[in-house]
Amino acid sequence: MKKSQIGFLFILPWVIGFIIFTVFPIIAALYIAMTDWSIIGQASFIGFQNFRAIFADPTFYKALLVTGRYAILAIPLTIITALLVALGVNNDYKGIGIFRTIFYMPSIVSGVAVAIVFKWILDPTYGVLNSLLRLFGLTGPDWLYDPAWVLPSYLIMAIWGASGGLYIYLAALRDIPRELYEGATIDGAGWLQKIRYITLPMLTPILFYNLVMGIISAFRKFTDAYILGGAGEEGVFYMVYLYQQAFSFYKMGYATALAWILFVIILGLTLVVNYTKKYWVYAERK
Amino acid sequence: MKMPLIYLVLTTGLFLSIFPYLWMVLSSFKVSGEIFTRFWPSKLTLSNYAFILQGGTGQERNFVGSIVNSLIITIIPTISVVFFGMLTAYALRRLKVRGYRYFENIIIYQMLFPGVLFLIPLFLMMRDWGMINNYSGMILRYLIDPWAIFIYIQFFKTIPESLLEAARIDGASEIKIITRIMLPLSKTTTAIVILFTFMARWGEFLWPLIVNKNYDKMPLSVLLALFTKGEYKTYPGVQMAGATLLTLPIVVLFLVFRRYFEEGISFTGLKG
Repeated sequence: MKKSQIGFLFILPWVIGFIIFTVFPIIAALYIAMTDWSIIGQASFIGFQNFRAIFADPTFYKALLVTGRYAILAIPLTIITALLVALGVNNDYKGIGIFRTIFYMPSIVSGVAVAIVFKWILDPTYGVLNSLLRLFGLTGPDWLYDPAWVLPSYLIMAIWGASGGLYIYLAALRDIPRELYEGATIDGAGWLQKIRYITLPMLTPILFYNLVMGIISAFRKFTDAYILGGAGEEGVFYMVYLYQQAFSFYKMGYATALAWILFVIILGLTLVVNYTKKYWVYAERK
Repeated sequence: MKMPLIYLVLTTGLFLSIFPYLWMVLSSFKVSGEIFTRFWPSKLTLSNYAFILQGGTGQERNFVGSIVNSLIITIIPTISVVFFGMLTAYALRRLKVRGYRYFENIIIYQMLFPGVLFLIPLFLMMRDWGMINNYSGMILRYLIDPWAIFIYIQFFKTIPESLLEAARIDGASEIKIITRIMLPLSKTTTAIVILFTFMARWGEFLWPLIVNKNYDKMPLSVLLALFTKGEYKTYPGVQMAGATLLTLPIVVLFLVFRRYFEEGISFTGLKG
């Protein structure tokens, strides 16, 4: 067999997989979104009716609000937390490896386990957090059981998990040329100035990357929201809403239309962020 | 900055970071009266583990079986992802299949495409193929991972062609070159692919939740989550035992292969 034939044979499994599990579902999703497909019975083509129904559904806007609000607050909070942690452990002090290891752990541990543990840490009556507040004479809120405190509860979890993004920042910090700092020292710059004028600008490509990833993961938030929920409708994140429509009410067409809207939102935000790139992201001149 | 100050700040952060795990593990060994009243247990008990592993509510939910299920739906994709990752990357990068640059771009798009859109079409497909409520439905879509192909492509770029030519002159087949030359050379890359794939599949939640409703086939993550919402709602100790079992393999893997994790992230930044 010729080299090129062997090569084609080797990529064939991926090509088949790509067609079955990527190309076909996208095309199918276009069609399903335009039908009234439920899990049983016949599906009929209804055009844009699903989209019209979605835009008339207050629950949709509520889910969008819950998710969007969370994204706006959680993304900067996690980026800042991860950056601070990375700056803190970016040195050769004794035992720093242990710090790095433990700070990284939230990103490897299953979301299910984290959700279950926080469910009890945030428990209004027995939870560790409120017990701690009581020690200081404070009465803690009902967290996930009080509509006003659902969002802060999810933000606490987001901040706790943020240090897991550590290594990406560490790698970027390592890549900053040492001469820049040396030059700045000679010019009499303090550490705050070095961070402001050297570290942050040099980190902008990684901040950009994390911003995009943050948008995607905030809008896809599901596991902990599904397990923990939240008082009122405050815990119904977009993906939870989509899941309920598809697998509790079996409205497959409606849920697929929701998936398309989510896709457009994520894509749109990514494009907007990408457009702003040239104003704030440092690009090495080639 | 002065060193003692930074240690103080870091140690505070460390305590906050580690506290949930510590509380989880300690609570899993506590008798129920002590979970919320003492941080450090006065005596250790295995009753929570016994309860969960024996299905103590009389529901006969098989948590031992769910660990086996988790291993099945984790290990099969992990091996397969490595195999097809190498095979595809080798064909594209080293055999330079016609239009390989074009294929490589497709792989990047496939990798970045949000999977949300596939969820329902794939579910309906699995249903039509009779793959609901069994392992194949949970496994099939994860057998090939564009991310792994991408990583192998990056690494295979760096291997000198002369090495492969020499092997070909000695009469080695392309498959032999992959197993005898590429595999031993790409140990680090393979370790990274194995670790991140294992982690992703072990912690997987949404897909197995959707595609399998059969309690006997459920992975630990799904069974535990359903129990936490349902029958075990008021059993914190048992939930903590389950959460510890779910966390343990990943933490052990992480501690043993820490070097690869660090390398893996600075290598691609695309996972984790």
